[in-house]
Amino acid sequence: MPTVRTVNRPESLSVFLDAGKLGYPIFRGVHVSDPDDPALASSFRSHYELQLPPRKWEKELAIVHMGVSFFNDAAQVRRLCRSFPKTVGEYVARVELVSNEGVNFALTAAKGHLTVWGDPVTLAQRVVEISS
Amino acid sequence: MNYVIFDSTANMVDSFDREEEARATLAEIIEREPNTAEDYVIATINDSGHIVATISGASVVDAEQYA
Repeated sequence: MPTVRTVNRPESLSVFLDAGKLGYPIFRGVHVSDPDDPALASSFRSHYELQLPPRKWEKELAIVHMGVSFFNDAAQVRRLCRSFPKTVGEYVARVELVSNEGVNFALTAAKGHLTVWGDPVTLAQRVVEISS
Repeated sequence: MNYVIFDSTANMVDSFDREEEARATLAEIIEREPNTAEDYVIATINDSGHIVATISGASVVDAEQYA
């Protein structure tokens, strides 16, 4: 299980290339309740993929602009979802990453927060549960 | 404590060690993108990885207006 300390604006960042070694599920707010909904992949798009211009930190770090946020604790995502369903999503997706699917990750910003890079369809296919 | 700005894509926009910096940055973003305050939130995350408070973009704008 990766244990690299995360801080804001680090001079360097450890990117883990084998997502299968993460060793625990990760969670993210999504806007659909059905894992088989084709629209689910849209909930796994980065700002870059959505063609949103980089803002602030994203101007300095393409890895932030091109990454997708996750938490390692469903309770944290659920709290955000309940407070801001429009912003974060109405539902919580549990994702279990595996090796050899072109997905990478890093521990970023705050403890429990991860940035993940990967094809949105691939990430959506790794959703094992969606809860409210 | 960490102060992480998220937007309506549920992705991180920026992250800070100080709440004042996070608020100022979000106020600046919203000023450049009018009518988007509802699209942003600042999550206050403690050293254990728990979200201990949330700050809406709208409340940041209100605070700026009355400052």
